[in-house]
Amino acid sequence: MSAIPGVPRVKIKSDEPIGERAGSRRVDRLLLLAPGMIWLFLLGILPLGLILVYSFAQRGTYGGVVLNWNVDNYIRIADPLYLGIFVRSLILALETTIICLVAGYPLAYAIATAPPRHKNLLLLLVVIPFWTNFLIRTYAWIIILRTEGLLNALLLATGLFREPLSMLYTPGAVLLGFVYNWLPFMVLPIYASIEKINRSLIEAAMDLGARGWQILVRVIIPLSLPGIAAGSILIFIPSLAMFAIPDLMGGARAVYIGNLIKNQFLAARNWPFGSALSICLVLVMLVSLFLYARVMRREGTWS
Amino acid sequence: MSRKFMWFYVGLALFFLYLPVLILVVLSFNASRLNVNWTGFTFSWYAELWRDRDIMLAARNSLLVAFVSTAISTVLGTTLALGLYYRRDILNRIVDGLIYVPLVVPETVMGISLLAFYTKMGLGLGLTSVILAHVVFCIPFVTLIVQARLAGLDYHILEAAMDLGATELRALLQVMLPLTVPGIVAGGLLAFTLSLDDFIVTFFTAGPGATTLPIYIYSMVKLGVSPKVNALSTIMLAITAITVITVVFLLRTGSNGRKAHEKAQSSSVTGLPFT
Amino acid sequence: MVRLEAVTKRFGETVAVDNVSLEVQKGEFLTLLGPSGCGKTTTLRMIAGFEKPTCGSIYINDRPVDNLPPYKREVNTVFQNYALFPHMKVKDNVAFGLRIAGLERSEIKRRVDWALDLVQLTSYGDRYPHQLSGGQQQRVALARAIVCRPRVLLLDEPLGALDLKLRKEMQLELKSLQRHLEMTFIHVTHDQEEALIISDRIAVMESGAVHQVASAAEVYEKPATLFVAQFIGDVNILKVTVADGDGDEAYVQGTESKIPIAVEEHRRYAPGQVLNLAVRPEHVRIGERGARDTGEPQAVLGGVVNNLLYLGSTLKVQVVLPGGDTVTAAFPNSSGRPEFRAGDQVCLSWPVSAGRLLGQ
Repeated sequence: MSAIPGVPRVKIKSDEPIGERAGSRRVDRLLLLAPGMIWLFLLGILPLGLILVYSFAQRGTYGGVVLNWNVDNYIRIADPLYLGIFVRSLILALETTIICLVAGYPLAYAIATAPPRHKNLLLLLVVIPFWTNFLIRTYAWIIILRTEGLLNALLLATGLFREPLSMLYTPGAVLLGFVYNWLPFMVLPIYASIEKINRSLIEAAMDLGARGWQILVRVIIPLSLPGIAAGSILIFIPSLAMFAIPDLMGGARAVYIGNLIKNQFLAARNWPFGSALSICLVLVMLVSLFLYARVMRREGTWS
Repeated sequence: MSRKFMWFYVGLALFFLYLPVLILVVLSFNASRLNVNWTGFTFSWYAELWRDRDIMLAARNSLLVAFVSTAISTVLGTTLALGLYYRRDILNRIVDGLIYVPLVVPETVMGISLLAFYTKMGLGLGLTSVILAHVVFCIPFVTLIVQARLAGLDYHILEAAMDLGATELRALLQVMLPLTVPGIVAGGLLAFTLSLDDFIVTFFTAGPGATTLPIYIYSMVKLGVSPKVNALSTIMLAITAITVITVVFLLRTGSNGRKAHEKAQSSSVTGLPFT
Repeated sequence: MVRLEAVTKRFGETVAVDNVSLEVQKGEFLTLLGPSGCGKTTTLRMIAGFEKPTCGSIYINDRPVDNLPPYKREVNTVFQNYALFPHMKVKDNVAFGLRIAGLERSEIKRRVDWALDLVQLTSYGDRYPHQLSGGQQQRVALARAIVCRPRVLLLDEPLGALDLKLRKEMQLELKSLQRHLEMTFIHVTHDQEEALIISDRIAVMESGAVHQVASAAEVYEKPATLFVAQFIGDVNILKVTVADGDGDEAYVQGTESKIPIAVEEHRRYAPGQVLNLAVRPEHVRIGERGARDTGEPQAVLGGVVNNLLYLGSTLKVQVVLPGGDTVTAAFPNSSGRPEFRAGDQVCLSWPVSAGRLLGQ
């Protein structure tokens, strides 16, 4: 601070530099972070811990929980009956994910490459139905598929069928319900990752002699892998645990892990077994997240 | 792929997406109670809906839960985002973990774990338990959206404020907070929809007297097809469509000429149902 | 090798490229030089096939290419930000065009090795682009384009993202590479120094039009338009009015001085015509009153020294004319410091042939 001739030097009240007055920054941050952290810990983490503990407990006489640290619940999951349910659920979730990918990729690609003025409108059109509650969307398909439903009425009217088909309350119906409910979860992330691809990369491919489908296979699909991974994880995890759609569209025989867990907590009142099932579900989720993180890490190093 | 084929495919996909919903809307005006045959136009299902006290109560519960949990989660989510801004240390990692758990844990698992937890704590199930639970899954979305907004700001603004003598807390609250308002609004809107729409967590945490609209719809659908559900669905569809279109329209006119801004905004809106 | 005939490109209302005709010889290094938005990149993109001319035609190797998509043209491009495929290793980036062309595996490997060797990245084949520095990425982009052996290589500001020192090295490398390959290069830049160093010929563009196509020396010494004179190098511009008589003298506006002007055979100026006189600072001499006798006719003006600028290798003296215009004179630092001070009355002079008369 050199004295400028003709300008009287301003004296600051205290001699200490004003920058040093600031209070403890750690306290500031804790003030901001603590309320949210406490809430998330108490109601997000602690209950999961409780479930983990319960999974090593035993069902009491009146549906209570007796904590005696055993692994019987996990052994019980290995029972073919429950293992079958687990495998069936995994297959259903995988089928849902793959169908959504196959059906959703071209849609995302078409929107991402549409003229800019149509893009937002198309995205909005894909999204609007999915702002409605999934129960309503599921219900719409029940109306169409049930024995007295619209599709059967149409099929009978064509004269090709004598009797109505039973389409509702089948595994196929559940799969349809899953795909219909989750399709946009695949479309949006893939759209976003295609949209993000630098136009000059496509031009470079063209410049080096690649045309339409070669560009798609060699450049666009590999670069949209993060979107594919994100969409898959967004669909796979919830479809693994979903119980409501099988409840409504799958009929009495449609038991998947979600339904099993729900029943252990609400009907059978075997909380420890339900907890063990939930922990297994969380483990599957962790594995799929791990795979997802690997894809994303690779993407992270590219950009 | 030729453009013509792509348009054809887009048309087909939209047909698949909209047809079931449109059928629902049409049937809500059908006089026939059981059949899909069109027997005449009627408003009677809407009238019946209006007279149904249970539905009205459920709607009121849903709105109450949504408003309260939005208010709480917006405040907590925003303060978390502000606290995470600017500094990276062990606290950030802890909070990141806390935020990601509700995002990735399947809702069914979250629901039963909360049910077990409430029972263990001796907390009765009711609207309060539902609100407490909704806040948990709303906070992460608010935090992520506000963080995204903060990331778009120049952190030198904060440093300038601190350079001029503001404490970090003061700088965050007086300088950064006002700049993040669009993100907070977007996060709050998302929290509101998530809460209003939630079925699974609510299913496990709501007591008998705390029926929300999704719970009510579920039990009606379980009982069987009823034209009243058609009518209720149609009303909810209409409200959703109007809200979405209004929000998009507002965002478009509200940010004239600021293209990047508009893009960020509209994409965060279209990205909303990422539950 | 490449010929543009009356090519115009419009984007909606705006004219990006306006009636440009240009011919590039085989093995030539031509630079399109101009400020941003002058249409140079659009011109390049039309040659590459990414944009279609609104009217006019482009020929490559005497074949019209107006209806050929980029992947059918025998040209390759080095993109502004390299556009390397982030999900492919360096060698796969370089092999991309060869694989598309369906070459045999052993042949691809041979050519990729050749190209990587050419750009001195032999040991980097297995890295990903993000693991390379900017300069290395730039070389990969170069190798990827060259390996396809295009008839013409297009370079869209290839050095723009590099820092100054690296840029200067790469300029020389590009030039020697081009000589070595005997390939036709068309290069786009806004950096006039780069254009002067690197090119056989420079096409100076502004507002979609080509102002001049000539060698570096000619563009600098004999600019065709006022824009070219001002865009390339430093220049003093004086407004002059042609005096009555043979048209070989003119009044400098704002002063009473009359100076001789160069008269070329094919250009005669009418008395009263207003022209711009462009004189490079290094041609301007400063003396105390009274011109030096060098045999060559000199233009002489009086003025007052305003400012002395020290630029390391050169010294500049700014002199204010009576009318308020400033004329700058540049001296090599080795010739000894001029003995002037601000406020000194001095006498400016330059050889008449060094002054170039330009229209508006």
